[in-house]
Amino acid sequence: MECVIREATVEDCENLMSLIHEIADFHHLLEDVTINSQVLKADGFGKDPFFKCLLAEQPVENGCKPARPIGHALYFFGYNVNHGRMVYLENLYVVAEFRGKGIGKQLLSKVAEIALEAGCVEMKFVTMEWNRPAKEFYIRLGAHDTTDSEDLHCMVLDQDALQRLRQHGKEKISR
Amino acid sequence: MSSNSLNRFRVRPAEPRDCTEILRLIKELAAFENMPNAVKVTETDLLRDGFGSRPFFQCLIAEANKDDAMQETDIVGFAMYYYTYDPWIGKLLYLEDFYVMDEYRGWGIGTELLKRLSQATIETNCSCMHFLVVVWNKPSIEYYMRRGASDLSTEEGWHLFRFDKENLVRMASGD
Repeated sequence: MECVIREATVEDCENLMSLIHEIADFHHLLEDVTINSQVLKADGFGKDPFFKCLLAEQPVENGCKPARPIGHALYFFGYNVNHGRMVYLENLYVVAEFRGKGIGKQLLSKVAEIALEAGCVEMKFVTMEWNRPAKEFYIRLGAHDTTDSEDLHCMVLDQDALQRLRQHGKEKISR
Repeated sequence: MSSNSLNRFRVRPAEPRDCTEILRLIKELAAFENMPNAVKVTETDLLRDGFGSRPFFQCLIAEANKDDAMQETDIVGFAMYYYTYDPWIGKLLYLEDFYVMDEYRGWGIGTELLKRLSQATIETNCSCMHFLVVVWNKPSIEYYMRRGASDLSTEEGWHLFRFDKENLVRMASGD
């Protein structure tokens, strides 16, 4: 299906927030979303952006306003200490009624193009183990599940742990 | 800068002149992880990507004082990190690499590095710190779990995927 891929602007933040809510809902984790469109504006379109975003839209007639975006790819640049520059794909989403039409692939293709132009040598992303359609989509395109193949596990230190480490540098379990 | 009470070491932000030593430590860590040939980055890459007009990473250095009157120091540990984004909770700090030379372990260098990283995470309003571990590296897992880390791959089913450069090239060309 033909679609227009373009960079998101600050004016798109309300629509982008709406798509982010849809992804969270898809993962049954809507209650985990704590930011809003104002935070997105500050974090993505201020002096020091923390992410970049592409939107997919349906083509429109001249003079007509495009409808709400039908997909998005949110990404940022990072570093692999062994290989160098990399891109991290944080979100890739297509609205339900437009899936299966090649839009996800078009978004991914554009992120890949941008990543290569920036000198990146790899792209990383996370998918939930139960999300078989997503895993199959990515594997068909050549991705490797490094949690399975290389035993890489994603870890987190949350606010409580960070506060303890900041103050005392001590372990959670007292001796 | 910060140091321990015996003045045996100090932790400071890395500077361009440290790239030679940072690369040495990166290679040592790769060798420790049984991947001595994995390191493709060069000093030039580190200089450009960490200290150029568009930094892809930040770095903390641990220096140990030599036991002589000249007070020269050796670089004996480092932590490489960068900022990432979760559209549900906002800014995060990602710890890409964290290493202390074997003969300097037990001095509290790792604790001090983690303390400084936790400070950076909290002071930049990041929600949490993310990182990867290889699950068979039991000492490493236990080190982080004792400090309050959670394993998102085991607990929530996160799988980390990777597209290599050849995949990026194929996707960017629209194949």
